[in-house]
Amino acid sequence: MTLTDQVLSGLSQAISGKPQQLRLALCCLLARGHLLIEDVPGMGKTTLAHALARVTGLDWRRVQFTSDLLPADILGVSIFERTSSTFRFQPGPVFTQLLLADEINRATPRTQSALLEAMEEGQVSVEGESRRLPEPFFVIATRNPVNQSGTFPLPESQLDRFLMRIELGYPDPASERAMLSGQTGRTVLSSLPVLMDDQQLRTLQQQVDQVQASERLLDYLQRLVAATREGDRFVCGLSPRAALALLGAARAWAFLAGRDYVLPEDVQAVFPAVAGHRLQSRAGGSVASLLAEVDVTGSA
Amino acid sequence: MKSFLSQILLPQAFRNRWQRWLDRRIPLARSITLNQKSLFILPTAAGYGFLLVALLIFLAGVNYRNSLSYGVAFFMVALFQVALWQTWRNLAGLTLTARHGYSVHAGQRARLVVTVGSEQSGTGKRFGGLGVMVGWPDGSQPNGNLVRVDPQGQNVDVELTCATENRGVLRPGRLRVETTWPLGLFRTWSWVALDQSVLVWPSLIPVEPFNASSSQGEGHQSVAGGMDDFDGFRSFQPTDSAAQVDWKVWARSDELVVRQFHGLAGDDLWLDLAQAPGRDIEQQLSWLASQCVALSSTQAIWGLKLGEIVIAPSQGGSHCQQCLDALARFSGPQE
Amino acid sequence: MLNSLLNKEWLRRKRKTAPAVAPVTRAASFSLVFILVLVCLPLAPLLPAGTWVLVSLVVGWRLILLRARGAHPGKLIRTLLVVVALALVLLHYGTLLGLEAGATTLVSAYTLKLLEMRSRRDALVLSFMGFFVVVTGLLFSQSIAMTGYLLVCLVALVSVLVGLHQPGTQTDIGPALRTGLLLSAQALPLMVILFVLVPRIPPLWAVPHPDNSARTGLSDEMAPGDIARLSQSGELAFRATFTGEVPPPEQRYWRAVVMYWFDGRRWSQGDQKDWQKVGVAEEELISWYPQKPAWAPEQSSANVDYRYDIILEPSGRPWLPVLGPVNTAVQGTGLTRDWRLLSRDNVDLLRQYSMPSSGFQGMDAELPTWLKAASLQLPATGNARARQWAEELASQYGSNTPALVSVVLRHFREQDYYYTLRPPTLSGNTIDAFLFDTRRGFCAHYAGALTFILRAAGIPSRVVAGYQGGEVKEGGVVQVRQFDAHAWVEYWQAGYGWQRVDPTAAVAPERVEQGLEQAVAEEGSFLEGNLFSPVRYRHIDWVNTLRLQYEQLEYQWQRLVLSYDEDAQKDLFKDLFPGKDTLTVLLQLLVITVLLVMVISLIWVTRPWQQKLAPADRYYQQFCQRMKRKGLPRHPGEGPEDYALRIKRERPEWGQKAQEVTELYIRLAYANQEPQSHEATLQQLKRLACI
Repeated sequence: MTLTDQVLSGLSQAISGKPQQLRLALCCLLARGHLLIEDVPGMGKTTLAHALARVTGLDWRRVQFTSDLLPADILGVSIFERTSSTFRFQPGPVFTQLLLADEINRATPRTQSALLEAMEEGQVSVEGESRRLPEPFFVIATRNPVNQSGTFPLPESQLDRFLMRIELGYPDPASERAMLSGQTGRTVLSSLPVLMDDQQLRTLQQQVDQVQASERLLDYLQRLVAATREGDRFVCGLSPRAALALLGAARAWAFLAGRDYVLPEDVQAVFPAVAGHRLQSRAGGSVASLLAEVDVTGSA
Repeated sequence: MKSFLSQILLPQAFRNRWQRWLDRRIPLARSITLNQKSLFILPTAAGYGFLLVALLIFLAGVNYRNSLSYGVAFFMVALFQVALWQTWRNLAGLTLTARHGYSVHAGQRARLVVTVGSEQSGTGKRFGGLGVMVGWPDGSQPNGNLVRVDPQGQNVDVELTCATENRGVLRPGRLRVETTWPLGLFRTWSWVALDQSVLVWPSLIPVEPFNASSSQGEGHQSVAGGMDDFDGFRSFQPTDSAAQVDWKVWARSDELVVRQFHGLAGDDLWLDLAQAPGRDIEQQLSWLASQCVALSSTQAIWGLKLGEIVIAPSQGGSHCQQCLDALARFSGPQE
Repeated sequence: MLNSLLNKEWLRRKRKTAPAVAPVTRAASFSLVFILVLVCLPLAPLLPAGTWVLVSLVVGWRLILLRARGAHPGKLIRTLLVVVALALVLLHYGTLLGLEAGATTLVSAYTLKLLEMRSRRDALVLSFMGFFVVVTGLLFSQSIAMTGYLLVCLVALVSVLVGLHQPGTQTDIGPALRTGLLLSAQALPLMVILFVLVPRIPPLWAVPHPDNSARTGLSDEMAPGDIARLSQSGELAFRATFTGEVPPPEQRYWRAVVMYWFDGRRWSQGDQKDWQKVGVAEEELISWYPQKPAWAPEQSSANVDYRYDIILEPSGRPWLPVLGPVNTAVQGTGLTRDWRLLSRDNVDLLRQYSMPSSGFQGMDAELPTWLKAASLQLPATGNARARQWAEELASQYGSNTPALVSVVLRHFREQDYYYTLRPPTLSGNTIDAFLFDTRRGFCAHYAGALTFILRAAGIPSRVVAGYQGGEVKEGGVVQVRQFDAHAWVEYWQAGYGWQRVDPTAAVAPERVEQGLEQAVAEEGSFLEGNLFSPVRYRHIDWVNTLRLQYEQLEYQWQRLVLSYDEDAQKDLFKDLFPGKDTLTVLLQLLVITVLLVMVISLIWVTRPWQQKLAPADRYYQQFCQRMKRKGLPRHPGEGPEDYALRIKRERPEWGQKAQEVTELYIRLAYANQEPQSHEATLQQLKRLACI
């Protein structure tokens, strides 16, 4: 049993019945991307983040986003020390390895963009001074799709910074029953084993980079991306950055499957999660129908 | 028997038959590679003329016992045969792929993009792929609305136009592809069914500038507690966050002050189908569409209500497009 | 810059006036002008000067129009130009019909059409006319040089057709020319097949032929200097091909014209009026095939000396030169009373005929009185000295005609008579002047003088004109040129018939044995007015070699291609398929070969051998095809692994194989693999996927 399999089975103790989402979350972590979870409250988003942090041995923090949250509340602030007559930097919650940003769409665009810039750059600048964020740095943001009043929807350009968007959804009856009986869920979090440290995670991320993508696969991926741009399925197609993200995610997915090469199936597995939030569908176009139509082998 | 015959002879029935046959032979697809099954070929008028000239030259050869005239006549016949194959080959293997369309208002000409190119990973240089005419023939243009492309082994995007009448999803009929290259003696053609559609928005009508009935002028409401604009300072209260404190002021003046911000919100205009003027639903939709277009060029923020469909207020071009899309798709008030 | 603006403006205006026509590109228009000049050039000698001016004017106008200056001619001007063009033809030829006038009219029409060309349709009509004009040129010459020119014209015409369909932005003529060349080359095989196999038919109706009246060649009358003038021409008269032995030079007398009537200066064949004087009708002079002439004996086929066939260059005359007297006619010809072959029509086109030369030497059993009268005809007066000498001879030898003739010949041989191409001019009593004063002359002088003396001595005799000798080439070919023209004498010998005697042989035996060049070698007058004739430079080795090879080529071209008519076709296929009906054989072969060409073309355009996919993909596609046939097609968006899983789920019996194939394919298509194991895996996949 490989390390990643152990991680996955550890996670599934906390959240049962969601192997696909767990796998995607881990895949996102391995591909050095950030994760956006879109779901109603109480579906186990926090538990997922907590469990992920625990089994991977990362330290984690959680920020609840509200409309009066200032950028400084996340990034940190320089406080004047009367005793020393100097400004002292008080790091914000962003200085952690795994950040859970709850209900990110409740904060004002200014605050949102402060976080998103930190995600993109891997560093923050406060008072004109750059400060590196720890490595690895992984953000899980959640978004509440209902009860939109008083929210600030994330601009499309910002959504692009999340590698994946997943939905957890309601658990199946058996899992829910198990949770109710206390066999899974938040209650078992503290008993989860710590399976690796951040050094090992970095090694795994490097191994993911080594996964090979053949010419044919790149062709397919390109066709897929190109297909999002044509026709009137979507308002606008995937960006080149999204294409790179897709490739990275597919590599991580292949790695999780224990392969050192990418298959079209890997691309297809991560495609809805990677492309779903980047594409605004028009004339009844959907990501699923796109996957069904673009030919894998490219003979026609 | 008699009725059967008249059925065959009826143009409509014949056309249906032809359509069904075509549908079997060249089915609907996003991308079609032309081949034996989908190509037709016949001599052009010029081709028949060419043969006639060949016949005249043959007669000259006969009557003058002129061997070289025979030779020229036979050369022309042989060339005719070569033209048959070359014209056919000029289209064979050509791939047509449906691309995006540009939505327009009903009555305008919709533009659709089709990629014309040779097959992927084709080996060797292709001969031909020249003088390919594509389009939806209608009498609107001198050349029958066909556009010339010369892919020559490359992929070429060509923008075709198509007349629109009603709003909604427009599926142009079969696409005509033809060529007479290289000699103009034969015409190879195909009727390709590309799975291509474009959304046609309601037609535009002249409208008065729209203001909501509850309008309070052009002012903006100030929303307290927002984060957009700096408002001023107020003194520190124990519940305030450390991040809101202006520490520089404290360092200077020994006074803890908190920076205050407010947000801005414009008046939201609502375009509502229920209040739109017009004789029938189509006219109402046209009115709404025209208003959307007019509003999109201003700074106004507006929303759209179409019965149960509600589009949240926003502004700008892409919002306008979203509204127009909804109008185009609107299938009438739900009963 | 200005030009292009003007051009655009012009185009816009043009669109406004004629919206439904496809315009002709500038490059195509230029090429049409070029092609016009190209195809009309062979007809240039025919065109009257006025037409020349008209053509140049119109071409110039068109070129100016192409530079977007000036205006298109209005209807009035166009009508005017048509009238002028027709008037020019009428003025020069007096008719619009006839080949030369017709060709000129065609060129004029072609040129005027160029001027009014606006649409692609006009351009097509123009290029089709081009084909027609090219063929018109062929009616006047079919030589190898002309054929080469024809090929250039055809390729150019095809290229123009291609050019009409080039994109408007294409100004380079290179691509159109290359395509035109390629298409022409592709048309060649079928053209050759059709040329050989399409059954040839005889002419359907009579057509005007090229006017050959101005050609150099034998004429039906002869004044002393005429044949000498002919001998300045190195033009080919005919080629004869002997099957079997070639007769020696002294027997190669090609008879063409026989002259009876002498007016004191010229000898002539005589017209109807002359013959009426001796009271003879035409039927007695000539008998047309297939009629059997009353005067000819039954032909005995056993007694044949030589077999030959002749390809006669157009002469504009009806005479068909034959070796020695003949006694039978072939189709389209007639046999004359003096044993010559006449064509029904003037020979205006290349003409082929074959003749056996029998041992027949013109043995007329008896001499009709009218023929005797014609053969003794002399002017009432003149040439008194010659007559006197003849009377002396007649009284001396009486009826011993051969002795009398040999005395005259000995006289020529032993007295200082000279054979020359530069005879002094004679006037008055030409026979006397030649015989007794100048004593220098060409064959016509000697033949004329001998006949005069014989007639004056009461011996029926006539002048025969034709060709003598010729150059012997490989394969029994004898090539006879105009300078081989010759005249000799036939006299009547009772009990034998007509006897040939050549007085020139007495004076200059080398003329008969070695040809004209040797005979006048000392004089250096051979082809002296003809600086550029290659024949003149025979003595320079390489020129001669080149000339011989070219002539050989031209001969083969004539024999194999130009004379390939219904008879040649029949002969060829009779030999190839003995005992079968030629027409059936031809039609069967035609259908088979045309089908074959079609099939080859079909294979060539579809190119099933061209692989569009890499091998691994191809084999995998084959596998997918087979699965599809079994009812399990792969969806386009389905990856190989998913597909294999689905197969396994739905049809477990194929699952194993599907998995193996998929594994191999994935290894080839997606996985990292060392090159050395690649080939092995590929072979494995091929085996699995194709079984």
